[in-house]
Amino acid sequence: MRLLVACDDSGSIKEVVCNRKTDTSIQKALQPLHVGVHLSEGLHSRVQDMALISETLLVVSRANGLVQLIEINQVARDLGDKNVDLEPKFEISDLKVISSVQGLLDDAPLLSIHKNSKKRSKPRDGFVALRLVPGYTNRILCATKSGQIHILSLHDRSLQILKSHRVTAPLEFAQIYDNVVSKQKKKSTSVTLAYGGEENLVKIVRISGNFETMEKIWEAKNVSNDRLDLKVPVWPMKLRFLDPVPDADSSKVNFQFVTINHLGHLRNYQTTRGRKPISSQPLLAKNEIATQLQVINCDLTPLNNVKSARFDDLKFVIADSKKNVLSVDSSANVLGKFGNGDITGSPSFVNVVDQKYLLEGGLDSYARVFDVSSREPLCKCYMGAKLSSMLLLDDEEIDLPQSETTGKKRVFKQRDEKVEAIENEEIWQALESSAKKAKKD
Amino acid sequence: MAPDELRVRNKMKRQQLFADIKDQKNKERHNMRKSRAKEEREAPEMKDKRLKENVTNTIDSLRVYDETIEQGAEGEESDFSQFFNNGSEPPKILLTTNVNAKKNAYEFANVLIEVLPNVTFVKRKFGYKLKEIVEFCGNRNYTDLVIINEDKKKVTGLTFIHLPEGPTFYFKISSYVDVQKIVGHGRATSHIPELILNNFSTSLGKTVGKLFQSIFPQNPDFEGRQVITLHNQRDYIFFRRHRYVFRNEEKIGLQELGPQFTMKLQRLQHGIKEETEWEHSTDMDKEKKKFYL
Repeated sequence: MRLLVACDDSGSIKEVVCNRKTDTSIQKALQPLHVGVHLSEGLHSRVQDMALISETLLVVSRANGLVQLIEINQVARDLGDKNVDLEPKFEISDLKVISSVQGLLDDAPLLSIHKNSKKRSKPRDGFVALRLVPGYTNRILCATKSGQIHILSLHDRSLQILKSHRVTAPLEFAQIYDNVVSKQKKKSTSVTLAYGGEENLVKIVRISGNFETMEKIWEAKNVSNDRLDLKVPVWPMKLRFLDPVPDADSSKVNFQFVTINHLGHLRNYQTTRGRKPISSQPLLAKNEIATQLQVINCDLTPLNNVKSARFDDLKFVIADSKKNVLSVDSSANVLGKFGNGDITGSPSFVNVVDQKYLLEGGLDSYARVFDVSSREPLCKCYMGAKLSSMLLLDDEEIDLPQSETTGKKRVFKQRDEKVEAIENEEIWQALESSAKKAKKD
Repeated sequence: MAPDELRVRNKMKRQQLFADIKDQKNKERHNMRKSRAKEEREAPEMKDKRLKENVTNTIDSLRVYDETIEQGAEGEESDFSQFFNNGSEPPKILLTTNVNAKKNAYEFANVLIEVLPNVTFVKRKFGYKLKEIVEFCGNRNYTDLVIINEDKKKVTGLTFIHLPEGPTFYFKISSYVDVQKIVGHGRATSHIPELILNNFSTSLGKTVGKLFQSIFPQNPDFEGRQVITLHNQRDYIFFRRHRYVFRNEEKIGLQELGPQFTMKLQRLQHGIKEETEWEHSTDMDKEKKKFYL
């Protein structure tokens, strides 16, 4: 298993090579085979998001407003004086920045809206999305909390800002729609994305094929007031598109998506059936703050949208701002908990890969991988810094060479078993003979 | 002779007999120790050898393995680094209480005013949210906000908020002993005390240690000979304040200045009371040999 982990405190990207059952918190358990630190730039330049755009190219966004294009090369590992035969055989990655663009963040819009925000800390702009535009191999979209949507072009392994658009701030997420593109496998003419945030209702916008213009095509409406006739706060945190509703009226905008909001309400929207959600169910007790949403039982598009049009069959994994990573179904029933109390800090990153692996990392400085179906932990590695993003590069197990000492132990055990078998036989014979005597008596 | 071998039917006799046997055993043990001490006085290396071989297992020594002790937090920069890097800027603390606090909270505030350096106490008023208080503090260059929490006329907790961007620590307060109740206590002076941080070993413990480092100035007045000790043992942090005197080259005298109290970390939050970084839960108390600081 090869992971890339973005660590906050040193602003580095770490490569972790480990096998299943790796656990750094147990001294005698399997430890990571390799932890390599790359591109440390400090806390203020910490990596916020990472996206693979090809097998050897990676884009990362940093908290100082920098987007970097990084080349990943596999190189042989330096074993020094170690015995080559006794060491596991694998290559390690070498990360090299080949291009970057800067100045993509702007704090000013956030400062003006901070007065009415429920967030207490001074707002800092940051990236909320960094993705390759579906249907293109040389266009990258990044969105910021301050409502800037930048389209970056990748030409001759060099990044440049192609176009920037502004939308209503603040943003918690910006999710690109790639369901139809991924099915038809043809070049898209326009890019559709949804965004939203604190007191910023979910909006769907369409960016033209040449990325010059952007138009709003749909906007959600808040749910009705609560039983005390008070306004329900608007704060969508994450959104995942579903396939469009089949056989719908073609004159209407046809999107289907699911959101989780700050109060832990799971909402299902169909744009063909109005602007309010079809269903809104509370998932977390005491209005805990929900932060993450992923679908676990359905095929996903490269941008984590759901390849299904049926909301009722879906199972989700959600995380709150305390320490819980929960598996829930569409009826808001909790199916189970990941980590079983082992996670001690707020999970800032949760992602599902191939319906098999759940990657989790957060403020407790551990990178964890879980099996999605059984919720069993597969590996747990201490990173020494808070985590903000993770990528699974491959899930191959690395063969560990058997050392001579383990062989000896096995022989010793076999001998023991033989001796035990003889002893057992003697005991049985003795017991049988005593039983016969007792019967005679 | 074992107790079950005493087949005396009279209970009083049996008890007497058993006490005699026990007394005899004690005497034998005392004699053995006496003779061993005599031998060890003559050959001190024997004592060293014996102590080396017979190490008592304590809960502390049997502590569950924690990889953060060895590896620690990485990177020179962490939550407090900005403050430490500035260096020249001394800490400036705003002290307040919870809303509708009672007499005990104000009395504890009086004690903390003497302990914390460069502190301003402001009576908490109704109608101000934490966000607004933090903003006011930010405008007036305060580096830390300390809130005393009182419940049912007892001081139960202390919140430390590092400004302007956190983190936030919440400690439970217990075993408070007032200065007047400490026998032979001295009177504290306004000198900046030295700070001793003991046993903050894990990554979380070091973060807590950094909190206290950031609260007390880095340039103590050595002429005041005052020292504040924050001793962590089994996740309880013991606060003590002393004055020391060097009586001669080997002997040091200590005078306690008080107060005494014990803190236990309950919660560490990112920012100003935002995402939880670590929170104590009752499940954590099940494992007696696992410590987090």
